[in-house]
Amino acid sequence: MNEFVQEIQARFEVLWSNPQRPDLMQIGVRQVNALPLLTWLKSNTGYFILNHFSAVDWIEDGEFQLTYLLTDYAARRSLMVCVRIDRAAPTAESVHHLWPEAVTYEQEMFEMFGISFPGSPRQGVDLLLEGWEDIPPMRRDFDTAAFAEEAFGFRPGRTHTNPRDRVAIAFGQKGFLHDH
Amino acid sequence: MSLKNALAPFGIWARALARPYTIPVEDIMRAPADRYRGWHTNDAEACIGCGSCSDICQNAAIDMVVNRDATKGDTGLRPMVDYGRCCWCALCVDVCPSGSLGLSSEYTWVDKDPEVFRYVPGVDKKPWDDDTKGWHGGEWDLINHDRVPMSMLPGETRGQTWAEVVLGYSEEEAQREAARCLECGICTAACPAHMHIPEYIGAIRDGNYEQAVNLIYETNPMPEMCGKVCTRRCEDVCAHAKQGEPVAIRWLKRFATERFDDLREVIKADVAPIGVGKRVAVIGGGPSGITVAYYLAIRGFEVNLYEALPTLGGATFFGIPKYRFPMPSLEKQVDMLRGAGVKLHVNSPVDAALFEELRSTHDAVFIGAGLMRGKAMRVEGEDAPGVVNALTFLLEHHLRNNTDSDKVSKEPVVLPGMKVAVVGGGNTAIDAARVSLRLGASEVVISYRRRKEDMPADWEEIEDAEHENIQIDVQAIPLRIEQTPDGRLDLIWGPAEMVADKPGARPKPVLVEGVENHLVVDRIIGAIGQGPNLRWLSPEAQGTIADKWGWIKVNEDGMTGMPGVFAGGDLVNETADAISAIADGLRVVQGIPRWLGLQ
Ligand SMILES: Cc1cc2nc3c(=O)[nH]c(=O)nc-3n(C[C@H](O)[C@H](O)[C@H](O)COP(=O)(O)OP(=O)(O)OC[C@H]3O[C@@H](n4cnc5c(N)ncnc54)[C@H](O)[C@@H]3O)c2cc1C
Ligand code: SF4
Ligand code: SF4
Repeated sequence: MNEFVQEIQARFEVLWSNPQRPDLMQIGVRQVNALPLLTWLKSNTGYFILNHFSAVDWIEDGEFQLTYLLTDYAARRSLMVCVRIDRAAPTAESVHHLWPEAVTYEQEMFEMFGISFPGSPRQGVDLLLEGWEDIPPMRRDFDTAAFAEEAFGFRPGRTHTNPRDRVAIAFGQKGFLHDH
Repeated sequence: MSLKNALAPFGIWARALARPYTIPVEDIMRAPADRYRGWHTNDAEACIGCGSCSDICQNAAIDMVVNRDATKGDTGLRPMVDYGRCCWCALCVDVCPSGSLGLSSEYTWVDKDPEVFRYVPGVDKKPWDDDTKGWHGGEWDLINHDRVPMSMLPGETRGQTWAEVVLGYSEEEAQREAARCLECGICTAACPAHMHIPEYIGAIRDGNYEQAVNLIYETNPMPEMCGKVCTRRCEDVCAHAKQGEPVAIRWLKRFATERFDDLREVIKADVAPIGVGKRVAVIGGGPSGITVAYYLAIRGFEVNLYEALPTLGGATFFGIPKYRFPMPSLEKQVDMLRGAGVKLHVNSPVDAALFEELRSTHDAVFIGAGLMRGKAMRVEGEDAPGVVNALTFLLEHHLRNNTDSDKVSKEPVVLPGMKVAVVGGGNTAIDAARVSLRLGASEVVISYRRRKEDMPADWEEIEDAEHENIQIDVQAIPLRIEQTPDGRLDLIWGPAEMVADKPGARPKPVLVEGVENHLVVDRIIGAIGQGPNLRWLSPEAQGTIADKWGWIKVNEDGMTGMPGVFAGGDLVNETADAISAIADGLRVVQGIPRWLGLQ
């Protein structure tokens, strides 16, 4: 696998690589190199299947990571191409012309992360979130618990007893340094 | 109504005899994958009601509901799942410290009543309760079962020094260990003083050590002692103990108190001065007496504490050896008493006359005189020279080494090179053995009637003794002691057979007749228990407050049969450990003001 990384390195700058498993290599590349690299991989190597395509919110770094998982089925191994993009202006080149199935992934990332892929056919068409008005829910600054609290009520009749309180009351826990 | 709708009923009837569109579920039902995550199961008897499942659930799907009484080791609550919110992630299963919670592989259940989809697994019986398929955890867990190991002096060499054996956690280690706490509070039930354990552990985890020691002082005026030698019943019931190692509660308390060289500036009491103008006499400076004195003094009482020995601490001073609980740790806690304004009268044994005087000059008297009489072994030859009682042995050793008392001989009973036998299996036996070793004994043997697992001593103490090469002979019943012609002692013992006793009781050792073994040694130390000694009181007073063996009975306020006279500690409770003595003291801290009508 490392030889393969060197082969890539000869053509495109590889920022880092991590052999996560014998059959899975991760590499990081700059956004400018992403489309040329993916095009090269598809046409010239065994990695011509886009197995998965998703994003990670690195909110602390002010970046999103696009993760393309390409698989070489003949050799039974995969390559994960990681590309960091600016979180403040999250736009990336579409790969739907290379892999038609990317349309759905790109539609989903638009909806869930607010990342846009100009030219991709179904950008902005609702996938799961009909009538969604909040910030995209897979962004880490989206408060899931608060949303659930607001959107979904509790069934009437639910009561919860805190275990600590139950023990304290049952066994008469007291404090003697303060008047309670 | 549209025409289409109006005609619909006819359309339905038209198909009345045709094959149905729907397919019976049985025809297409397939067995789920082995690890399919379906409805919950819970072994309600193994569940301890810790609520970790409820805490971790990201969907707030679990409520803890009352199912049974709270006991030591079980909050009596059980998780109730609301399937309107559950997403079957199984985080609850992977965090469950008892391993009781699981997800069955069953996932179909149809009902018109939405309320049925909220139930208490394992309590509300379901057909899938015994399903072994599904997800029952165990392959990985979200909790860390292993405690942060404690550094200790190496066993081979520490027998030659009095240095403290346990070295204590570093800050990083303490915070890492504190972070294991699940905060369920089950431990607080088992602690006799019901200390605020999860709260102070949380404060340690967050680095708030002042807050931690203040929380500790809410119920314990000798925390550095407890942090080093407590019997730690809390750890026995820690949720982690079900499948792993309990949180090191004792070591964390030790860590928190050891952060401060002087606690007087750190501990901030805020209590009403209800006792101003009232006087209380405390007899005995052990943990129970210290507790009563400290908490009453900060409430404005004038407290006079009388201790027969030159130093406070009671059995934690004269019994517990310094390599477990060093003098500076004790002095730090005595300083707190001074800081609270307690008047300390050391070298002041109370006798019958002084007792009467204290009763007439004080509003209440507390007796925390401990168990000062070592029990005899009751074997022939016990009075031979060289046979000593462990309590006397330890008391004299500590007076000789740690005070300027002139009441003890300069020469210890155990001298370098001697071989020593200790008879007994409790903490006192272990302490006597390890002190003998440190006095230079060449060989030390503990001889105990039952099996090792029956020894009342702390298992860690037993291990520590073994690491120091102390030999433990078990199932050995002492028969008699003879003096050998060369002036040594022959401990003659017979082997014991363990015979089942009443259900729930430990098996009984029964002597195998006709076999005699010999253990020839230079000293024999009897450590088979302690009893009360109230002979310093008048016979009338003894008769009023104690039974014929000297055990004192008290009411729920800790008051004896003599009005205004309270008691606590080893003389009163059956557990005879320091934290139970402290708990008794706390009861009296409430009892005395109540008796005096101050609250
Ligand atoms: C060797 C040994 C090891 C132990 N190890 C542990 C351990 O590891 N962990 C643990 O939790 N517990 C341990 N214990 C038990 C623990 O020390 C006791 O349970 C606890 O100290 C009892 O406290 P107390 O207040 O009842 O009285 P004590 O601590 O027994 O104190 C009683 C005090 O009263 C004084 N006194 C008695 N009569 C009079 C009088 N007439 N006038 C004035 N003063 C008087 C005595 O001198 C003594 O100082 C050990 C005990 C012994 C003996
Ligand atoms: S985590 Fe396990 S032991 Fe704790 S309450 Fe839930 S089911 Fe019971
Ligand atoms: S399976 Fe997940 S969502 Fe369901 S109760 Fe357990 S933790 Fe909550």
